[in-house]
This record gives sequence, C-alpha cells and structure tokens, in this order.
Amino acid sequence: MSAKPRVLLVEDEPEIRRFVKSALEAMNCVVTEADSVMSATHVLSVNPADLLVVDLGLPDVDGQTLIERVRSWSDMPVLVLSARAMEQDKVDALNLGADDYLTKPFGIAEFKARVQALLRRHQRQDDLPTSVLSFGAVRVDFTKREIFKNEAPVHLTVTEFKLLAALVKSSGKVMTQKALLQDVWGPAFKDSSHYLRIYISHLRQKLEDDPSRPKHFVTEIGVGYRFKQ
Amino acid sequence: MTTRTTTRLTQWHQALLTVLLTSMLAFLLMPLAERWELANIVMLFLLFVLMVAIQLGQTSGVVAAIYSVFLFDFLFVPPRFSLDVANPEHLVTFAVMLITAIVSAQMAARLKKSAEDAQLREARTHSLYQVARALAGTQAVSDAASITEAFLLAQVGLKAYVIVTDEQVVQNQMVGAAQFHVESHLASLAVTTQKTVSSSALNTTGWGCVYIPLLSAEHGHGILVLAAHEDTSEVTPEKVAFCEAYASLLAITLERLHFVEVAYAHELSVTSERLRSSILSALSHDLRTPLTVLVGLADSLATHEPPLPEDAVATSVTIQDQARRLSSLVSNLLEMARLNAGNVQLRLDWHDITDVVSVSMEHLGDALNAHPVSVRIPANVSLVQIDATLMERVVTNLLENAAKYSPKGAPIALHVSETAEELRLVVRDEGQGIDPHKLDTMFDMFERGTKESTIQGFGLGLSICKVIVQAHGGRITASNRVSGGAELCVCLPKGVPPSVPEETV
Repeated sequence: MSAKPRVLLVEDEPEIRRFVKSALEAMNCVVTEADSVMSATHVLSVNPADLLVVDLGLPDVDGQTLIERVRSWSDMPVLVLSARAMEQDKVDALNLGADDYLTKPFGIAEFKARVQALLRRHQRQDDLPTSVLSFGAVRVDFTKREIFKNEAPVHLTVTEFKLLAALVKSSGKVMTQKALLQDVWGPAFKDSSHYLRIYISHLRQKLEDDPSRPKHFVTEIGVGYRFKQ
Repeated sequence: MTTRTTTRLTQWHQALLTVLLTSMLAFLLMPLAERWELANIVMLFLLFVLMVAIQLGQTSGVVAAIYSVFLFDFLFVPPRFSLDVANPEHLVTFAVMLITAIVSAQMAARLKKSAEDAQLREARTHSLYQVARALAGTQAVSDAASITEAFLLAQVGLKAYVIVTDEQVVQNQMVGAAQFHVESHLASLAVTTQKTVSSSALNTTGWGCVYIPLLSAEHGHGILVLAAHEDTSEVTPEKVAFCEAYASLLAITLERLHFVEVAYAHELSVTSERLRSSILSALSHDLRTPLTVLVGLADSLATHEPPLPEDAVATSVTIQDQARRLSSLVSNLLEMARLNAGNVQLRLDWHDITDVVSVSMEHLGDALNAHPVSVRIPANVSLVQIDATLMERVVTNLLENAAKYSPKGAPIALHVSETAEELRLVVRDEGQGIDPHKLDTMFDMFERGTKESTIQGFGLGLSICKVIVQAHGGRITASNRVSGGAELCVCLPKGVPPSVPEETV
C-alpha cells in the first residue's frame, strides 16, 4: 500500500479525538472523524477506510453494533477503545470481529504500536506467510517444523506447534481465548480454557527465557493471549 | 348440622310417637281379625316397623318391633285379649316376627344413616372445592388465614388459627389474632414430627387442642391450630380428618405464596443489580474520559515534534504519571464500590497464576523500575479457579504496596508455592515493615501504613485485596520478617482442576 492509510476515528469525546487524530497524523495517516455510529456508517458508505478506531461507549448505539455491521461487508482492521472496566465487553467486541483493543487511559506510544501492527498485518495478508520466524533467542521454521532456541533444537508436540502457529499468525494482535481454543482444538473445546492455560505454559517453559515473566507469549487478562515478536 | 339437631325430636318423643302409631295401626286392623289370616296381619305389622325405622331411626324401629309383637299377641292371636297363647306354634311366629322386625329396622336405619353421611361428605367435598378456588386467588398469607378461619368455623364449627413458620423454627409470627390459647410446645412438636398433634385434655373452649402441620413437597409452611367453638361443638376425629384434608390445600396455597415471594425478591435483586452496575459503568466512563484526555494530551506534549524544552517535557511526563496514578485510584475505588455492593459475581475460570503475576508486573511497569523483583513460580504450578481480573488487582496492589513502602533499590520477592490444599503467593519487601499495632487493622478501609506521609495512596489497596481473596474462599495475612521488611501472604484453595491429557508426540 503506497498511498497514505485512511483511518476512520469514531469517538464522541472531542478532546480524545484531538490527540488520537494528531497521533495518527504523525504516523502519516489520513483521518476522518465521526462522533456516533450513525455518522460513522454514513462516512463509511461514501469514504472507505483502511482502519477503524472505535470507542465502545458511543452516545447513539453501542460501538459493538458498528463492529458487527462493518464485519458483515468488510475485513478492515478494527481497533477498539474501551473505558469500561468489564473484561466481557472487550471479549464481546473481539468475538464480534474487532482485531484489538486499548483500555483508557492509554499512552500515545502504546496506541501507535497497536495501529502500526494492525496496518502492517492487513497489508501483509495477501503475501505468503513467512516460513521462518525469529523472536528472542528462538528461530522457527514452519515449513520444516523445526524450532531452535539458542541454536539448540527444541521439541514441540503437535498441539504445542499448532498453538504456536495460531498465535504467530496473528502476531501483535490479541487472540481471544475462545478463538484460540477453536483454532487449535476445535469448536467442541471452546469452553475448555484449562487446555489453553496448560499449553501456553508449555510454550513458555520451552521458548521463553524467563517463563514467569514472558516477553513473547503475553497474557491479556480476562481476554486471551498476544504473541509479541 | 346445627339446624338438623334442633328439628330432630328427642328420643323420648320418638318412642312415644311410635307407641301411638303402633296402637293406631292395631286399632285399625281390629275389624279384620276374624276375617284375615294371621300371617297377613303379621306382614302389615312388619311393613309398619320398616317404615318407622326409615323415618324415625333405629331406636324407634326396635320399640315398634317389640310393641307390635305385644299388640299382635294381645289383640289378634287366640285367645284374644289375653297374653296366653293357645297354639304353641304361634310362639315361633312371635320369635320370627320380632327378629325380622328388629333386623330390618336396624338395616333400614343404617341405610338411612349412610345416605345422610354420603350427603354430608358430598357437601364437604363441594365446600373444599369452593374454598380451594378462593385460596387460589389469594395474594397474601393473611388473606389465606382469614379464609381458613371463616371456612372452618362454617364447616365444622371449630375455631382455627394459622401460624406461619419459617423453615423448622416456630416463629412468633401470628396471622390474625387467636381467640384461644396456643400451646407453643405442641405446635413445635407438630412441626418437628410432621404429624398432627392433638391433646384431648385441651378439648374445651379457649384452648387450641389440635395442631396440624402444613406440609408441602418442599418443606413445612406452618401449623393449623384448632379449638372448640363455645360449647355447641367439640373436636371429633371426623372433624380433624376433614381439617387435615383442608390443611393440605392450605399448605399448597402457602407454598405458592412462598414462591411468589421468592420470585419477587429475585426480580428485585436483579433489577437493583442492573441499576447498580449501570451506575458504576457510567461513573467509570465519566471518570476515565477526562483522565484519558489528560494522559493522551500530556503524552502528545512529551512526544511533540519538534521537541519541547526539557523542563516542559519533564512537566508533561509528571502530569501523565499523576493522571495514571489517579486512574489506578479510580479503578480501586470503583472496584471497591462494586465489591462492597455485595453480590460479587466472580467470573471463575481455571487459570495459571503465572498469567496473573506477569500481567501485574506488566501493569505496574515503571512503578517497579526502582526495585529488582525476583519472581519464583514452580514450572508446573497447578491451575487455580479464580476471577483473573480481580486476582490481578490483588497481586498488583501487593506489589505496588511493597514498592511504595520500601526504599529505592530494595529488592522485592514474589514467591508462589503450593501444598496439597492450597496455593500460596507471598510478596516480601525489605522496607521498614509494618507497625505491630497495625497488623490487625491494616486490611481495613482507609488504613494506611504511614499516616500523613509523602507516600501516596488512600489505604484502599489492602482492603480490596482482602475482599477479593475472601470472595475466593481464601485468606490474606500480613507479618513482619525477622530480617526486616513486611511479608504478605495470599492463600487460595486449590480445588480439583480438570485434567488435560498428556501428549506424547
């Protein structure tokens, strides 16, 4: 994508819009603003966007409705801003198709990192997935199914490898517990969170430098997990 | 029943009437004495006895039978007008006549009584149906009680009184006002044995003598107490049986009213819970929005292009720090409000405590920079059933406290260990420790380690920890270490985590 990425920012608080917009413009984005679900729907119908940043607590309709609506016709990345303390709202938004979330208050650097990750992944989607991936002291060759840590081979079981692949596929983006269970174990396991806990722990034991302070397999409490390269 | 007794003649009058009627019949039959066979006259006497028995009852039937035999002998059997019997065969006639008359009189009377009983039963069944309909429409226990009093007085002439009990304990919750003395120990006995208790010694006016427990499928709802009403009626077994039948109807009604109440209370609590959570989420939104603006704008100043002068950047960083601190305070306050409101809904799931600890460390970020933190968690630590979001707040608060109350550079240790029953998470610091006088009160709200000090905070942190840990069925304790510094320990019950099959390839 050579053109400047177009971002639609849906937020009812003008002061928040102001600094988020300036942060996005500093990232070379073209920003359109909307303060309600209705105006956002209207803007999207005439002016498509490459990224949607949406606040969950909007004055007219719930932000989740907008996510659901957008997901019915587009796969544009969606970043949720949430002032709500309840984890369930975020999980609901993510399960409806949002790609990531930020809890208010958030710093500019944090926000920029999320936006960048979303835009980059969306751009990359058409390319072939990288066959070799390195993070920390680990190197993974997905075609050969080989994993090395500090150049020493590491054995992963079938499920561990599947879980690693699922996390890496959405690198930088949060994966809900339900999505991971469905991807790796299948739909019948979508409530068996204990499987996920055990296998994430296995991955950390085998691949992290300090499994009790993970750098790559990061927990999003009450929501799911995120892989950081 | 009361009207029936007044219209019925007394036994003496009936006997007199019977004698009169029998004499009249004999007088009418006199002219036929010479012309008719004796057997036919006997038949007429038998018919008469039967009719008397049906109309006037068993006693009159027997009187008629004996008197008929006497008159028959005296007036008709030769030699007439004497009690002598010429032909001994006639003695057999007398015997047969007497036996037949008495037996048929008894049978007729019994038939009549059972017909009357059937009518009475039918009337009572009908009345039970009607009262069941009336009970079905009641909205309150007091209505059911007053229906009961009126109904039993009308049907069996007894005074009734309903005591509503809660669970197994007889409470002094009286419905209506008893106009007689209620023996509470008999009432308790009826509740505990779940059987009707009656005391014949109390079968007089002014004393409750029968105590019928009101039982439904689920549990007992109360007791129905019966007492004689003035002197016209007394308590008989049939009346008690009828009242027991009625008691089962009343028990069903009380059960229905009980469930109506339960449903109403549930609805009320759901509504108030919804209201409370919507107020808290609105409050959370309104408080967080200006904080988000503060953090965001201060951050834009710090990262401004071209860079601002150094002291301006330092100021904006301080603004951002303080806004974040305020935000964490707001989170604590809101969480406390939510937890204090009661009905804490834990979103329990099986979690790896490592997840919780790592998120807490991530969350605190710069606040822990000044302290080397050593984390030790066993590699295959058991999963625990917790609300991870709340438990993360506990660990965050403990680490934040440790950092706040120990000098810069002092190490903090977080160790997790487990026994067969529980998981222990210990946070140790090397600060000045806890004032021994405060070890008891430090988990109370707004209690701070150091009063009026430069250390910021509200004293909410540990009290939140306590509420959350207790909601999980665990406990939190604090102590001072011999080598200096404080040690806070959270123990969580382990439970039995679901098994995950081991993978071999």
